[in-house]
Amino acid sequence: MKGNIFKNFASKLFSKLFRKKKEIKLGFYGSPNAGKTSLANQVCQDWLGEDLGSVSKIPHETREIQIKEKVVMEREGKKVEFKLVDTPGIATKIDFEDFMKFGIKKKQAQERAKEATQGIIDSIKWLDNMDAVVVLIDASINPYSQVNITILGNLQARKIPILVVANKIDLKKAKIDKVKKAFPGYDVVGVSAKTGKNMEEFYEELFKLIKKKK
Amino acid sequence: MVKKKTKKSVKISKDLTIHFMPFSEIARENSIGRVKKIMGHVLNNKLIILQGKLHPEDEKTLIANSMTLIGNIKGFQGIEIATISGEKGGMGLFNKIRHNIAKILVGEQDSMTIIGPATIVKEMKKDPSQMEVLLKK
Repeated sequence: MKGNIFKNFASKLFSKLFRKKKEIKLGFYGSPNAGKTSLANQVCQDWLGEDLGSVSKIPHETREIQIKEKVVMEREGKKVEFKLVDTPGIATKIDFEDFMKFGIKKKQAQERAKEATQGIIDSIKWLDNMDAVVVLIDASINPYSQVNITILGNLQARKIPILVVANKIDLKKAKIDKVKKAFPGYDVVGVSAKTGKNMEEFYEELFKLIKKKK
Repeated sequence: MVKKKTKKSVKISKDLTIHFMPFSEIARENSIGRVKKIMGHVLNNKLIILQGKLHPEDEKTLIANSMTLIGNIKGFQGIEIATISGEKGGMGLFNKIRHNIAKILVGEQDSMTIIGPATIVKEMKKDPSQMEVLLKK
């Protein structure tokens, strides 16, 4: 009985605190080319009818933090306002010569590398500012990357709610089970940000995550 | 026509130096101190095998620090880092408590972290319990 009273009181208190917050800062994190901007674009298209940023096969296309404010999502009669924060992919190394393999000229490749390093620093700085984070993992490659572990470890240490998204499930070599096995303590949802496959499940999990935050 | 040869300003030694680092070497340092010590070896083109693993906060600082150095130290391209940990599944309550106490006192002894400069290390292929370090020719 006492337990229930305390639980209700705590729930109401947190609910009030949460309501005071106008919008939820939702970050999109992951390695380069995991599909962060593609997913952010898909979300923006679904709820606003417009894109957030440009996508490319060349790594580090997103080199600056991109924000889309007032993205209102509705589910089962409940409206939640999000501030979407698309971040540059986090990597541990950058070699401008890698960009040249995609046909970019040396000078532009060096400039891209310079901007990419700054983008990673900015992504890291923004980690602490998020209310909830979607961590994107390319399900078509080995998920055991230290960058993924570092991102998840830091978010967990700050008790920031996390949703792991196994992206690129439209590809034959994508293995969601491998992602689930690699990150057993997390909620994992498989999507294709490119085709929009499984986005309903993504939104369902996202609302569950927000509920947890409440 | 003679092709121009490009020169790198960071000389890569033909010999590979592996530095074994017991966790005690960095245990008393704060996050910045730990990263400083590690980066000191990495900038000397050494491959570090660290007993235990870094805190996520240290890893975050290490990545940010590497990115800052890429623009400022010619030839430096960043780092490669990977950690493997021992199997913890199926541990009883007593063993879990014992493991956590040991973790506080001496770090995670059943883990191992490999850190190296990207100019030397091409890739670190990791599986849950195995790791392969591919070096550049």
